[in-house]
Amino acid sequence: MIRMLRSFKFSGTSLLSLIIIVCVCVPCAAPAHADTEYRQAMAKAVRAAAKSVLPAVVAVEIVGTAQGPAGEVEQDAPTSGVMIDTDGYVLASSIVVRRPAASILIVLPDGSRHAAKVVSRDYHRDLVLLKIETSKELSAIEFPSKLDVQIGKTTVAVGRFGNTASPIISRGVLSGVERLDGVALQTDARVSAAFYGGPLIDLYGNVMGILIPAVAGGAGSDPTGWYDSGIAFAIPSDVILTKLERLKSGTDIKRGLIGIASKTKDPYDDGTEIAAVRKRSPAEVSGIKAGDEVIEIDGKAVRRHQEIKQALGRFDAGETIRIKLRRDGKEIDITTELAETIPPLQPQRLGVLVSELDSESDGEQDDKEQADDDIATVVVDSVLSGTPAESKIKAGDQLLKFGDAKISSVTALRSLLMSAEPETEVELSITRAGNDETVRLTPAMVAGPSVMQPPKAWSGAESGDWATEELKLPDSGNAAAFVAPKATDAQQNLGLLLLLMNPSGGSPTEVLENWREAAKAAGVVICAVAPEDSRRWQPKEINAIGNFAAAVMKKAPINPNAVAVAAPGAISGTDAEAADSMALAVAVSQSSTFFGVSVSPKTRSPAMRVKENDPSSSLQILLPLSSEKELPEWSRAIKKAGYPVVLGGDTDTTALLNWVRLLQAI
Amino acid sequence: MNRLAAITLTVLFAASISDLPAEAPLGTWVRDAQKRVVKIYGAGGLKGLEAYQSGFLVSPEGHIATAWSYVLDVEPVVLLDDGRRFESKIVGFEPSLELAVLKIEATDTPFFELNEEPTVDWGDPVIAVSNLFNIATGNEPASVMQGTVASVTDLNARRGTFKTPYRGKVLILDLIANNPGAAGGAVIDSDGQLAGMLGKELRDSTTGVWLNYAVPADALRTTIGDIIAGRKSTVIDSATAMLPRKDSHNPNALGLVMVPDVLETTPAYIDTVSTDSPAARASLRPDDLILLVNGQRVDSQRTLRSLLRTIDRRDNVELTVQRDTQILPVTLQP
Repeated sequence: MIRMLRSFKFSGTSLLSLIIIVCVCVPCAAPAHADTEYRQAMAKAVRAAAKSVLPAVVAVEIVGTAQGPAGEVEQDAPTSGVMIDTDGYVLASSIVVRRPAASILIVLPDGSRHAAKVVSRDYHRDLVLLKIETSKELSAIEFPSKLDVQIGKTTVAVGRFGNTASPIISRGVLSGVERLDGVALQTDARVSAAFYGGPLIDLYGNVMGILIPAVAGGAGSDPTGWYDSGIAFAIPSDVILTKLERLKSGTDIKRGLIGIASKTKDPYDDGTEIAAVRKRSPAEVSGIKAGDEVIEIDGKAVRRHQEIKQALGRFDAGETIRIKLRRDGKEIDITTELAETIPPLQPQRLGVLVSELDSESDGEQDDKEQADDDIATVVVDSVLSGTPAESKIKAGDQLLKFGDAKISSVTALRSLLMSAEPETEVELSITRAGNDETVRLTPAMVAGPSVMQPPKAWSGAESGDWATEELKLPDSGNAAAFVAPKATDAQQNLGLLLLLMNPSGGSPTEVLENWREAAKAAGVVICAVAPEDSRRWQPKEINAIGNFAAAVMKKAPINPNAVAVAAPGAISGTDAEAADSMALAVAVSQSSTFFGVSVSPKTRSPAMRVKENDPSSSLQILLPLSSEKELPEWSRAIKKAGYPVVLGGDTDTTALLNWVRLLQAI
Repeated sequence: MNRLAAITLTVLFAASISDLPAEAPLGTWVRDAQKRVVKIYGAGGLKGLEAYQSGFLVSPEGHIATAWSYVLDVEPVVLLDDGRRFESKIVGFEPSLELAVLKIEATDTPFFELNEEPTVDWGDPVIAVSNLFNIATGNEPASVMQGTVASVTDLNARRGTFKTPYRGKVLILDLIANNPGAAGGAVIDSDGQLAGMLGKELRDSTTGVWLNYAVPADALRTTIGDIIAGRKSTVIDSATAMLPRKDSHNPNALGLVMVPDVLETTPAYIDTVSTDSPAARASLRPDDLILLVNGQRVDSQRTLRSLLRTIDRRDNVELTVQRDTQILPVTLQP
């Protein structure tokens, strides 16, 4: 009796909220049984919803594909797809075409197999349209044109699994919308390989989207890395509906590019001013100019560059969008057709070290980024010998305009040079000793032989003692140490080098002993980081390296643009090892932190997607080579993505460190 | 869309709440299930292998079903839910089901009945009761986890590090159940009936991902009954046994000359067909791509050869081939 009473009480209290949600209308229900009832009823509802779409859900098998080194998920893992009509068109995840295969087979619900041809791909949304020829009667899935995307509503991932293409489901809720730069829904249903390409439905059987393998924010990561993690993505049905005709006509879809660069280095800063417009980009063609402020994109108000990116993310190449801008105090509307590609960046430089004058307390130096839209005055601190600026620009000059574009911040000037046309003379408007003047000069390519020498002002006059200190971060198991000046007030604009050590490379403190004198002489703080595992570097450590850089930057006056990552192989005569591949992966994945990377030319290129260089956080690569002819195979893809490759020649520690500090030069 | 059906079900459910069936509340039947689950300690402890797993009682005389594993390499010690400790004897095992049956000297033990028919379908809620990670010790009850049957399908563990000889029907579970120590645990449906036994940790060879699965109770029933009754088990796993080379088929004898096998996974394309061979009589042609052998997927020439090794040379071989975009069934008669 007592035991029964207790269990009654237990269920009554802990399940009360559940019962209220499930069944508000039956307040008199005895609570003890409701849990079981709820589960069984939910199971029935889930099954009924899944059965309404299952006739149109197929398995997709891949036969005869090369197995390459990738993530856990097999290259030829069977996945799912949906029949979008009764003519044999099947929409699937583009994971089925990521490697060439001898055959792609569609397994219909009746178990019959049919060879499929690829009709077209949506590269933007990671989908592929396939087609089978069959006389069988097919069922089609229905994509609603309007979606109810209430966060928290129940979702069911549906797929087919195993030799028998049995139904497989996982229940969750809708976790988010407009993920992955505005293209995907997010759910916590446990989605693994078998579900990719299958539908995500609600409890009424409405198709909410098609599941794709994806990870957020991670160029260079394996898209299947988050399988079964409770973070899964689906391309929403209403969007798919608008793309189907185009895909059926055999036209591939790609992400739309516009070609503007941000004035602020951090995309989350307030302000939407455009610092530079890429050459031969949609932005240039439609008349967008450097200095314009973006107010709206396709009717959506934006306040930061991150919001611009998010708003643009949903559009495909070839789509025309409306943009509202503010120029000289007036609002203007333009329309522009987004492009599939923009010619890669060919970064240029003048050969100057600059800083921003605080506009209010005129004359006083302030290295802080201006967060608001105020125009900072960019002033030249020194001119580097052997560069285009030599003899044309003088220390103390204030740089006002680059061609027609206003120079409103150091980042803006950098972006303008990054996206400038090579071998083209420009007119610089400057103020020299109170007089407005114009100077004509032709910037030089960043790529090619390294020619810059540090200015005299850096030549160790302000040295003091430099000391090595161990560094431990709460969330990482990496051993690390850094060497930096003891007194931090004497020097400014130091460089920072993250030196990735090879597995079994000794202790970071010991390694830094050999670097301390060179570090002090060059004015470059060095942070040596050892891999967590003494046998290898792991992809999950990429973020930790960025965190180490951020931690060291708080401890010394480091110029945020003079931050690089390198491996021991960066020095001539050193072999490429695991740290070299890791350094490359770190630099490309964390491009907003690192402005330079230096590795051995024999580096094994890490398995990663190379994303395009960004004018506002531009990365350059130093290799210890003297001639273009010696460049490694992987450098082609790097160059094509707009990353300048600098030839360091015979590179010793001093040459490497000088290059690091000079990354701040423009 | 079958939207109406879902709505109807919801309404039915709402109506039935006030009209209660005679079922045990969750608290009671889950506790009842825990009492039937035991902790098993045996061999292991080396190279990161755990020396423990789970099991459950299947008779009032102390018969325990558990997963057949290295833990049973020594006569294991069994801890009941009430903390009593027993030396056990292995009374029988069936490798093709990954099943072993232990016996302890206890009477009037609570036990699970094994149903003849499956009690769960995909989508159904389940509870897994096991001693995963050896969290429960002594008389602490085993750990309970909730989840769903994600799929009911055939297990195909064709390649990969973690192989299992089991080839039958499995319950794929949408819960992280297959952890160290969980093997042999009980999966319970929402009526408190035994739905299946948790399998060992397994990586699905076709997709490469980790699987959480259970062998359904109805697949275990006959064998457990036979072992308890002292009869020889009748389960024969003939489908997967490798035959001696001279007794099995091979591509050459069937008249199949494949394209040079240069890659790790060279597709099974036919290069030429020998004259007057089974392949020629079945009108196979150069460039045909072999997709299936007796219903098993062929992802490479290596798989083709190993599948043919499992078929008696006197038996027919059923092939499914792709010719351009056509999929053709073909029977090779030796």
